[in-house]
Amino acid sequence: MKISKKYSIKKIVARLALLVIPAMAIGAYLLWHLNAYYSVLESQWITESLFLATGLFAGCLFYSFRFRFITTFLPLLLLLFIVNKIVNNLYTGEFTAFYATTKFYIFAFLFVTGWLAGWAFARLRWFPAVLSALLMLLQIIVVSNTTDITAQKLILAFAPVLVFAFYIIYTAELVLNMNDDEPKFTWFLTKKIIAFAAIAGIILLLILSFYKKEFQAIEKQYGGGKSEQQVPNKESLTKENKDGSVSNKKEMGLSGGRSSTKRLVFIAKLDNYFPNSDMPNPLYYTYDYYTKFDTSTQTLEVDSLMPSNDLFQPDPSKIPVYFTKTDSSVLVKAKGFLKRKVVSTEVYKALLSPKEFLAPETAFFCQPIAVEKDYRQQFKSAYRAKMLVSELNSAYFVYNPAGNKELEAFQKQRFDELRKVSTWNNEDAAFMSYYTFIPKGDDFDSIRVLANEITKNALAPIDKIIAVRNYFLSRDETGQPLFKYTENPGVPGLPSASKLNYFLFENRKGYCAYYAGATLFLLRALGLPTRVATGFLTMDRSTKNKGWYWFYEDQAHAWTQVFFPGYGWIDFDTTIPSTEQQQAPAPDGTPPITVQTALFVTHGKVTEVDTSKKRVDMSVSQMIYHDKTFDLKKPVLLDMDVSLATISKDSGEVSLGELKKGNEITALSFSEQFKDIAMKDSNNYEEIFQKIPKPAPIDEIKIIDTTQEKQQVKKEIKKNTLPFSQILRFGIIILVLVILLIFSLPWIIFKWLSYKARSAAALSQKAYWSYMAATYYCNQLGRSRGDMSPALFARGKIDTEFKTNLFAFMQVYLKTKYAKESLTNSEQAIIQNFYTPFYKAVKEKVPFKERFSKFLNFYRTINFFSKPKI
Amino acid sequence: MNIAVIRQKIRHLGFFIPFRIHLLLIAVALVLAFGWLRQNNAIPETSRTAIINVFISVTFWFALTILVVSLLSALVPWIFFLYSKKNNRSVLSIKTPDKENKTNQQQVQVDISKIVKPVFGYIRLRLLYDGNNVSPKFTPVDSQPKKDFFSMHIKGLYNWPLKNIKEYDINSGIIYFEDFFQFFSFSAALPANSNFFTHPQLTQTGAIIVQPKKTEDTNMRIEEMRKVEGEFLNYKNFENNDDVRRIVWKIYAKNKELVVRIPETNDRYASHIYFYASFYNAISNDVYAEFNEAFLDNFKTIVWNVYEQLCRQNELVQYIPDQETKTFYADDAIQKAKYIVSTSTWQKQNDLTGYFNKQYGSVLCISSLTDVKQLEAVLEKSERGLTVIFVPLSKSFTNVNVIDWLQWLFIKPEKKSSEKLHLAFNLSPLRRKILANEKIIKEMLNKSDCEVLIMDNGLFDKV
Repeated sequence: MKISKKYSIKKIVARLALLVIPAMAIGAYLLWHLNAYYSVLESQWITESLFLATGLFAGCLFYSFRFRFITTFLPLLLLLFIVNKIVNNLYTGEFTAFYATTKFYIFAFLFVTGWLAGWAFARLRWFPAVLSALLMLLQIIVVSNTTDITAQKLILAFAPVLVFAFYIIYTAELVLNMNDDEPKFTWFLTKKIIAFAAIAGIILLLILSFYKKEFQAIEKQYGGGKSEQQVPNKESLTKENKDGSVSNKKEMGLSGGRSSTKRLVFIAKLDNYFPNSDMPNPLYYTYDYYTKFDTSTQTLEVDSLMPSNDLFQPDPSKIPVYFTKTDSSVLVKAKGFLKRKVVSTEVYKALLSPKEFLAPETAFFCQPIAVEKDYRQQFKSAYRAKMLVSELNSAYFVYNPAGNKELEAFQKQRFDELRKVSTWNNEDAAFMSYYTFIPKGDDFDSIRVLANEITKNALAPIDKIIAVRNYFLSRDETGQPLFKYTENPGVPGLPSASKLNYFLFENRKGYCAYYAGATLFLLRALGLPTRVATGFLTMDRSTKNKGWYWFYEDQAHAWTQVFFPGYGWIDFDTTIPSTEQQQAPAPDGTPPITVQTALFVTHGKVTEVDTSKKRVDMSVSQMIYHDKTFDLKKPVLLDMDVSLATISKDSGEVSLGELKKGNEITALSFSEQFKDIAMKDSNNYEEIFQKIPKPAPIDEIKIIDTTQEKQQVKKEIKKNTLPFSQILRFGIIILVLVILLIFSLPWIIFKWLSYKARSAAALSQKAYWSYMAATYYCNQLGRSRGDMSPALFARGKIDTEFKTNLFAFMQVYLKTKYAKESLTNSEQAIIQNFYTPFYKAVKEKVPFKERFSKFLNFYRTINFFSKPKI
Repeated sequence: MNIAVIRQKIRHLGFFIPFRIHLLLIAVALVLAFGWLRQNNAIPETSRTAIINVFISVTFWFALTILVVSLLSALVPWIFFLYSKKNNRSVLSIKTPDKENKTNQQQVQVDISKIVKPVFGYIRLRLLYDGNNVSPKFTPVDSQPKKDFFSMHIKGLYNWPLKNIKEYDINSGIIYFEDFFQFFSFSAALPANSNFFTHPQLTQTGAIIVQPKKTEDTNMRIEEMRKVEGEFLNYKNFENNDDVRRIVWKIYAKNKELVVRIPETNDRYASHIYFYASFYNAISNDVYAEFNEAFLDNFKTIVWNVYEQLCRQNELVQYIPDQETKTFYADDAIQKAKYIVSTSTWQKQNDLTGYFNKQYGSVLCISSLTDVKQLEAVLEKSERGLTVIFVPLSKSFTNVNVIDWLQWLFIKPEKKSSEKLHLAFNLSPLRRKILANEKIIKEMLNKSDCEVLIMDNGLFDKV
C-alpha cells in the first residue's frame, strides 16, 4: 500500500522546521505561563510541553500525507479512551486514581490539541491567520494583567509575539506557495526568512521608538516609575497619582514588596474611646474591600457587585464645603446592629488625593470642611465623616497588648462576646456562598487541609480564628518563629507554584497582604464569611493630643474582616509584628485643633467677577446658615466682598483672577457680622438674604473644578478612542473612494478623450484625439479591434454595425499620420465633422444598461491602452 | 449564459483580484480580536486598558506599515510592467525546454522580458491554454543564474503536471506581481501564442527482439580525409552530372582540385525496422471521451516506450505514423517520432489494412480498439518475423480491490487519480465491448505465427 504525500518532502520538512518547531516553543512558553496561574497543571510544564509538541509534530507530519481527517482522528480518540479506561483500572486508591486520571486528562487534552493544531498547520490555509490573532489576543490579555509595569517589560513581552504572529502568516504562505523544484531550497528559505527578519525588525524598531513615550507614560502612571527610584520595592498598596497625591491601589498583588516610605498621607481625629474611659480606641481606616479572588492573575480584587455592598465611597472633592452627603442604606447592608455606636472623625489630607475617602467602617456620612489658614500649606483639604462602628473593634495591635491590662481585658471581652456566635444558618445563602468561596484545585485543597489541621481543637468560630492567628505566631521545633514579616518576600523562584501556597508552606515570609490573603482562604475554608479590607493602620504614638492620629505611607495596610451575624464585619489582623519595623521619622506634629465654624455658607455659580473692586456676584442655589441647610427653590443673587477672602482649588490657593464667570463655587464666611442676625421664621431663607450685610463679607471661596475635569475626561476619551475609529473610518472612506475611482476610471478617461477630440484646434491633433476617443468608446463597449487591421475594423465591424463613417475618417487619419501631403478641403471636413455624429450614432444603438455595465470593466480599459494603437 | 459559464467567468475574474484571500482573513481576524478586546476592557483609568490600547495601536501601525511596504513593493514593478507592456516591450514566450530533463517531468520553459521582480517578492504565472483551461499559479524556477542584479529578464522552468499526453496551445499568460508577504497580487495578462507538447514518460521495459524486414539504401558520410594528393579511395573527380553539394571544398581550398566524395552505401539485407502503431478506433466513440483520453495516454506511453527501447537496441528503426500531424522541425528522427506519438489521436480514417505494410512492417502496435476483421486480414498473410504488440486497454486503470477500498476510507485519493475513472469504467457498457474485443484479439494472436507481446503485466498501467 503506497500512501502518497500531499506535499513534497521539501515542503513537509520546511513546514515542520519553520512553523511547527516555533509553534512548539510558543506552546511551551504559554504552558509555562499558565502553570504559574493554574495549580491544576501541577507545574509540570516541561512534560506538558512535550505532550503538546509531540501531538503537534505527529499531527502535522501525519496529515502531510493524504490521510483523511475524520477516519483517522476518531480512532485516535478511541485509543485515548481505551488508555483512559486502563489508567482508571490500574490505580485503585481513591486519591491516586483521581490524581492519575486528572493527569491523563491533561496530557491527553494537550496531545489532542497539539494533534489538531498540527492538522490545521498541514491542511487549513486560514489557520495561521486565526492562530496569530489568537496568540496576540492571549498575550495582550496576559501582559495587560501584569502588576509589574515597566516600559521595557511590556515591550519585551509583547514585541516577540507580535513578530511571531506575522512570522507564521509569512512563513505559512511562503511554504505553501513555494515551488518544489527550487534547486537551492534551503538557501531560498534562508534568504526569505532573513528578509522577513530584516523588514519586520526595522518596522518594529521604528514603531517602538515612536511609541516609546506612550510606554513610558504607562510606566510612569501605573508602574513603579518614579517611586521605583526612591524605594527598592516596586509593589505598594498605595499609588501615586499624576498630581503627586496618593491613592489606594485598586489591585492587591501578591508579589514583590510594599512601599515603605515615610511621607505623611493624612492625619485624623477620631472620637472613639473605650467605654467608661478617656482612653482613645483607634480604629483602622478602611478604604476598600477585597472580596473576589481572580485565579488567573492570583490577585484579590475589588468587586463592585459583592453582595450586601456596605462600602460608602463619596468623592469629597465633589461635595461643596460644609454640605453633606449621607447614605444610610449602607448601614442596612452592613448587617451589624449589636455593640455598635456612631462615632465621627475628621480627616485632614496631606498627600492623600482630594478625591479619596477613608474612614473606619461603616461610614455613612461625609462633609468636607474648611482647613484653617495656618494649616493650609500642610493640609490641602479636609472632611468630617460619621460611622457606625463596632465596639469590639480596635486597632491596637491584637497580638501585643504589651501588658496593658485594660487592653487584655478588652480583648478577652471581645472574644467572649463573639463566642456567642456559633452558626450562620440564618444568613442568606448567596451571601454565604460568595464570602466563603474558594477556587477548586489542589493548591486550595492543601489550604483546606491546613485549616482543618490548625483548628482541630477549636469549637467556636472565634476560637478557630484565634487558632489561625496563633498558627502565624507559632514557633517551629527549633524555637524559631514559623512565620516572618518581610517587606520584600520576592517572587517565588518556581514560576509554577501558586504564590499563596508558596507563602504558607515554603517561604513563610510576607507582609500584610500575604497574611490577610492567607487568612482569608484559611477562614473561608472553614466556612467563615471573610473578606480583606485595605486602608490604613492606625497607630497611637503620642498622648499629647488624644484622639489624633498621624498616618504615614508605610501604614497602608491589609487585614481580614469576618462577618458575625448581628455584629457585622469585625476586624481581625493576623499580620505578625515586624522585626524590621521602624518608627515614624519625626514625632507627630500639632494638629489643627481650633476648628472654625462657618456661619454662612453658600453654594452656586459665579455670575460676575470684578477683580479691581474685589467683588464677586454669585447666584446661590444652596445655603447653610448657622448649621442649617437650605435648598433654594429659586437662585438668589448675592453680592460678595472678597477683599479678605482666600480663593482655593483642590490643588491649593489661587488668585482672584482664576475665578471665572460660570465657575461653581462655595463661599464661606466666619464673620462675626453673621452671628447676631436673628430670624423670625427659621425656614425663610429670603429673610436671611434681606438681613445680611451687602456686600456680604466672605472669608473663603472654594472653586469646585468641574470644567477642567470634564475637559480632561473628554481629552482622554479622545485620546483613547478617537484615533483608532477615526483611522478605521478614514481608511474605509479612502477604500470606497479608491474602488469608486477604479470603476469610474474608464468613464473619466473617455470623457477626457472626448473633450480632447472636441476641443483640439490643430487638424492633426483633432484627427488623433477623435480617433482615440472613437476607438476607445468602441473598445469599451466590447467592440475591440483585436487582431484586425484598422481599416478592416472600421469598415467590417463598426461601420456595418452602427452605420457610421469611421472608415472614411480612418483613411484621412492615416493620411495625416503617415503621408506628407496636405489634406484636401473635403478631407478636412471629414475630420471636423466626424466625432460628434459618430458618438451619437453609437450611443443610440447601444442601450444605456449595456453601456453602463461595460464601462465598469476596468480591464477593457487596460486592454485598450496595452495594445498597439495602429 | 448557463451557470457553468458564469462560474467560469467569475473564476476568471477572480484571477485578477489584486489581493490574496489571506490578507482579508488576517484583517478580519485582527479586527474581530481587537474589537472584542476593546469592548471587554473599556474600564478607563486602569493600567490594563492603557496597556491594551497601546498594544492595539502598536499592532495596528505595525500591520499597516507592513501592508504599505508590501503594497508598494508589488505596485511599483506592476506599474512599470504595464508601461513596458503598453510599449510592446514585454514579451512572454513559452516552449518545451531543449534539454531532456532527468526527472521525467513535464516541463515548460517560460521567458518574460522587460519585467522587474518585486523586492523580496515573487513573479507568478498562470497560463491559459486550449480555450478556457487555466494552469495553477506557479513560480518559474530560475533555470540560469542571473548575470546581473538589475536584469529585467525572467527565464524559468515549471514542472507542469498536465494530465494528458498531447499538444497544448497556450493563448496567454497572466503575470502576477506579489509582495514578500503575498498579501497583494497585481495581475497583467500578456498574449503568448505558443504551443508545446507533453510526451509519454519513460518506464522500464524488457528487451524486445525484432527482425528487421525492410532493406533501404543508406548513404553514409565518409569521415576519413584523403591523405595523399591524387588518392581516389572514396573520392573521384567532379563530373558534370555530379551533385555540387558533394564537392569537398576543403580539398579545393588546398589544391584547386574539384573532388567529390563517393557515397558509401549501406545495403545490408533487411536492415530496417519499420515500426507501425495503429490509432484506429473501431469500438469507442465520443460519448466515452474521458475513457478515450485515458486509453490514448496509456497506448501512447506503451508505443513510445517500445519504440524508444527498439531505438536503443537498433539504429535503424523508423516510425510510420498512421495520421498526419503538424510538421515538427527537428534533426533527430527520435524527437520527431516522439512528437508524432505524443500528438496522435484516435482516428477512424486510416484503418489497419490500409496502414500496415505487411512486406516491410516489423513491429505492429495495436490496441483493444482495433477492428478484429482488419486484424485478421493483416495476420492472415503476414510472415513470421512480425512482432505484434497488443495493448489491452481494459488494463488502463489501476485495479481497485478490497484493500484499496479500505485504503480509500483512510486516505484521500489524489484529485485526478484513475480510481474514479476506473469505477465509472467498470459500470460503463464500453467495458464489455472492449473485453469481448480483447478476448477475440488475444485468441487470434495466439493462433497466428507472429511474435506476440501482450502488455498487460501492469508495467504500463500508470496513466
